[in-house]
Amino acid sequence: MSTNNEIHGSELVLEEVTKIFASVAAVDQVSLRVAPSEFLTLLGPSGSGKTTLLRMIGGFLSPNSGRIMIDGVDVVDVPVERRPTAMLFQQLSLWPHLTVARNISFGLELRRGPKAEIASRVSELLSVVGLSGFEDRLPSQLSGGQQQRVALARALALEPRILLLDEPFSALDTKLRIELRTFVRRLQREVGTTTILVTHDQEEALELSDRIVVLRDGKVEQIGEPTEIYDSPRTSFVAEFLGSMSFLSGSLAARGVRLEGGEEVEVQEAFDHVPGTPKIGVRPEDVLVSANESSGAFVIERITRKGYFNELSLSCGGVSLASYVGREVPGSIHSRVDVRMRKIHLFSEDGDAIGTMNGGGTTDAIGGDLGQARATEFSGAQETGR
Amino acid sequence: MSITSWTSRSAARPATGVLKVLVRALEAILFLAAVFFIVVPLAWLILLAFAKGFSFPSLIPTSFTLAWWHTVLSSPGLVHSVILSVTITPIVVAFSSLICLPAAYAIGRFEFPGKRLVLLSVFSINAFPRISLYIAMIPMLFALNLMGTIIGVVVVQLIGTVLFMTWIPATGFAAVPDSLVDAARDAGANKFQVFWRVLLPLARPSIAVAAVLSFLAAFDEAQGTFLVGAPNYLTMPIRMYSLVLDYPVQFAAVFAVVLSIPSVALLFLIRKHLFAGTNAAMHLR
Repeated sequence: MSTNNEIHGSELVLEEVTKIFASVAAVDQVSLRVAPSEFLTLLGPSGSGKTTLLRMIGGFLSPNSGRIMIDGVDVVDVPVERRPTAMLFQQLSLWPHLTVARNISFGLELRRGPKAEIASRVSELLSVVGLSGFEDRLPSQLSGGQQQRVALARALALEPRILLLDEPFSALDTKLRIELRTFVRRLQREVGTTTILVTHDQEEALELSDRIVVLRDGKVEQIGEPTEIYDSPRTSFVAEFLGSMSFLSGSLAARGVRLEGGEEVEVQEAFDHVPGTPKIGVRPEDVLVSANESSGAFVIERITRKGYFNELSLSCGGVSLASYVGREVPGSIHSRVDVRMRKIHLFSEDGDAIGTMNGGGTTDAIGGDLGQARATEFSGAQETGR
Repeated sequence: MSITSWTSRSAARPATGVLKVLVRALEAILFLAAVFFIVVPLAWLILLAFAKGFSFPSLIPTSFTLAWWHTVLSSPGLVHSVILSVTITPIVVAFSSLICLPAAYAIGRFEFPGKRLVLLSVFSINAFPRISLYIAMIPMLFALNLMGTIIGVVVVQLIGTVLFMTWIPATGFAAVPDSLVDAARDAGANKFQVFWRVLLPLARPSIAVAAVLSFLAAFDEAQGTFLVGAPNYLTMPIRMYSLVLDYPVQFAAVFAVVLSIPSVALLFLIRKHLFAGTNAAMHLR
């Protein structure tokens, strides 16, 4: 925005923030540092404490213990109305009795700025969100997407040091949702306001965030950049929540992984001492499928059309797997296919990541060739993206 | 007409011919009933106020005159009672809102111990015959030296408005979504500013409805006013009683028409709010 020659994002630090509801810790000793101008996403299922955490940062709830620091100042005792934060709410929250312009200028009027300045600020913000000329409309005369853009303008009008987004796109339909979040991301890059988004939508988190915090039962499960979390999930919970993952029933044998179907996969010595039976996970895009009608080990159980790609549900004995393939399905329902895996993730019984194995000789912590016994036949694997 | 549009909307789904005809017929019957029970008596009353000769076999008056109006409007006691009613009622409504609206706000927006008891006691005012309540109050008013005073009259009329003024605005305040309040606080509004700029404007239709109902209740209140205010303060409805008993029926008809003018005017003035208010009340949680 042109009038703000320099908005530098603020730094937000949480130190062991805890919130207890009815003797259950909704947020349990969460500590994290959000860098200036960073776009951070709190991701987790409902009940993971993400909204509670956001509302504590905004001042709507106060933590039972811990500190919330904005640019080094503890704001725990600062009430909502004096916190340098602004929130975009999940529900449509424009005041229905005020025009678009008055909705945006509400906070500025409370600060008693000069009228002319407020008016020019309002029209500037409306042009930023692409709604110039809507000044005199009432919220009820706007579509859901337009209302949420006005709400965004209203939040930006407060010139917050931290912008808080509480699932602001969830009430919109898919197309609008994608449009609006792309817009928000671009705007955030331009303005540079430190932004925290709460969502349970992994796609949203992957697309928007500089870093993602995966929350589970009020605790931080993993923090990292989107690709980092996607490629190296620290726990099976994270792996399942961000992207999808099939877990194979199998066991860690003396020198390899034995799938329930009897197929055995060689593993290097480094894993010999792993205690317990590991969970073996594989992402659908790492499952490569090729037709082998005569002797394929896996059977196609279901084909789900996903638009420009297909999801196959495969099974081999008790083992079931999901695979993403292109539009060309190598076979049809009940066809036999060969399967090869590009990469698998190993987790301990408790779900903690032990490491990953890449097929075809490239290695992470370890090398190994994973696939079915007749891997020599492998040829037509299709790489499919999402 | 709202009745018609309501029934025709519910009729929109069953599209079968027979049902449609039935619904139409029912609609027509309802409409005629409304005309018969509301419009006809009113028209007859107005007619009566201008009637000169009126004897049993004929259904409508045979000749007309303005004499009743002249008599009524020139009687000094009457003018006094009109002025009295028109002055006291707004005072009652004002005091009632001062006392009840803060309570309505608290009931609508906060959880507090004893909330159910408060609601129950508000309801209990209307649960018993009003006259027993007045009789119980009279020793108190005597003790406070309020018998026969205007304050006493205001107090006694105020009682009939408490339920409206508390209950209806409370639902109006409660219907405001929390996110609107959160957003206002987020924008820098303190508790008072949230109330003044968000809650009060959004609850306004329900407050308007409550004010009108309170006005009508206080304006028509006769029993308590008579017990407490007579003989110093004889409001319009009290005079109405004595007129009905002591004078020809036309005299009372004129008075009834005069008595309805403020109510009708008021309803007409705020009809927009009234419908907005009933709509708001239906969106309660």
